[in-house]
Amino acid sequence: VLQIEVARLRVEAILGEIQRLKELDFPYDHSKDALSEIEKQLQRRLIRLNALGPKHNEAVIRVFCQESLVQVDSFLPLLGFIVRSTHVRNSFEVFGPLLRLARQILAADVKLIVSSEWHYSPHVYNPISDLPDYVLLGLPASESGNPLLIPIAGHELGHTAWQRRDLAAKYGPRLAALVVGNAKAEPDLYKKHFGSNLNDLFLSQNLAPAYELALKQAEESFCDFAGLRIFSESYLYAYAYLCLPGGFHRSWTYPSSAERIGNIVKASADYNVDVPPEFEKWFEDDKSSAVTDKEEYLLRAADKARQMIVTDLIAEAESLVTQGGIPGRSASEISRVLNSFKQTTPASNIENLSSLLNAAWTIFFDPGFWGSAVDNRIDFLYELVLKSFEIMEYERRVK
Amino acid sequence: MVETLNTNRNGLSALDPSLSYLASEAAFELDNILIGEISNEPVAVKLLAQRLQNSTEAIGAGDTRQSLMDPTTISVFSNAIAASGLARVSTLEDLAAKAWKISQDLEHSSKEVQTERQSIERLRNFCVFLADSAVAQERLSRDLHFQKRNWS
Repeated sequence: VLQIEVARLRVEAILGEIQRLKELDFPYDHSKDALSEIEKQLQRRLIRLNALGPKHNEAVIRVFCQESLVQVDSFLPLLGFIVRSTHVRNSFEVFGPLLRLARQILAADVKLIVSSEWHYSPHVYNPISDLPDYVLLGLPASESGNPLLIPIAGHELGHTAWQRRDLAAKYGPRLAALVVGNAKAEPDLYKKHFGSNLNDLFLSQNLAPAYELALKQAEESFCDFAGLRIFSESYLYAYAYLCLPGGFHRSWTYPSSAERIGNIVKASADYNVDVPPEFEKWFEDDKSSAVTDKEEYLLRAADKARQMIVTDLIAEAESLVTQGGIPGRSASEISRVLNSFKQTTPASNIENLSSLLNAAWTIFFDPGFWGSAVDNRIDFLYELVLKSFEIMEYERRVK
Repeated sequence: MVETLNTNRNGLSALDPSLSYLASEAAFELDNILIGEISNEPVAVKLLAQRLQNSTEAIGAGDTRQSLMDPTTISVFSNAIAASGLARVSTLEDLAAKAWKISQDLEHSSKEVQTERQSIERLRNFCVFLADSAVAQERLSRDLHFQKRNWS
């Protein structure tokens, strides 16, 4: 009785919170829509919990209580993210242009939430499972006025594309076959960690964590490639801004830092993106994680399988952007933006975000761009870029 | 609750966050049959049966079937079978055969509680253990992403 009662109270409490949040002033309807979606999911849990009673099997009751707890636990931080989308610190100017980009690439019904995070490593939810039709862009709160990090939106958009195109179903079976096949190819190494039984069932069960990591790493790699393909060089710089110099412990759901950068450089060659000289050397490699030998084996198995499909993931991201008809940045447009900015005026008639952001990064790296004509050149640059976003949106609306 | 269940997925997947909810719902429906409270068709039971059916395929013309599940799903599904005591599974072929058998039993699970009681209880217990195993996997995946994140 106690477990049902507290489960109901937990769900009712978060539903009450949602009701209160709905009273907030949202700058865009999508944040409010997301609240309604979460509300619907939680109401289903409450209806079921209310239907359970002493007649029901104890194990059935327990599993519903468990499942509802996982939902409460996963939706609560997402509610915080949605609340922060109302804060004036966010660059609301970027919403319209980014939404158009997302809809061009993904589908006309995709929604966008631009918000901020109180983690420097932004964004901790899984957009795939929580809100499958939403692109969630959460920049660190201290950077939410920094438009030069907008290329990160390309990576987040990649997650939504991964889900909508069901790329896990496309690449999962190959990764599973690679993980198992690679283990069979080195039986002594496998036996060292899992014993001598090479039966297919035991292989699959023992290697399941490696498969899951490989799939997550493949998704993150695809998202990097999507961001790179959409935003070109500016993605490299935004990435560097967030991560430099690195050298921390390895994140298992991503390729190692060295492989991640190496793959981005490889994709850059395919996408005709100019990589700064010695870009790979900008980053320290990860420190080895304090893991057991068996975990290390599983991580290596994941790495190996994921790396074997990287070329296909690069092509997949290319296809995503090409099918969306997104033009790449153009030298002439970048030059036009630079000319406007040189005259300390925002740019107009911009065809794509990538040109604007690449021009902005060019100025970022050129301290003498305005000579002594401008104080606080970085703040001024941010302001010009955001004004250009605003003009872009205005021009679209009056067309 | 029909509209609440995701019908787009073809096969069983432990990486699909709706699996724990679907299995819980199926357990609830079967439990309702056992306590005589069922009024509608057991929708979740049928959906779970479909997903299990789509998780194996026949090899040639015989009765042998092969699993189409990914390793994580194999792990979750075989844990549920073992915990519910439905069968002893020692190969992937056994696993595929069992998935097919359970799917058929779920598909044809009847409201005739008097004659089918034991069978319905076994299926309900299997659904509970499947939900339990899936919800643990879901939590593990979230924690892994949260604790070991870079950015995104």
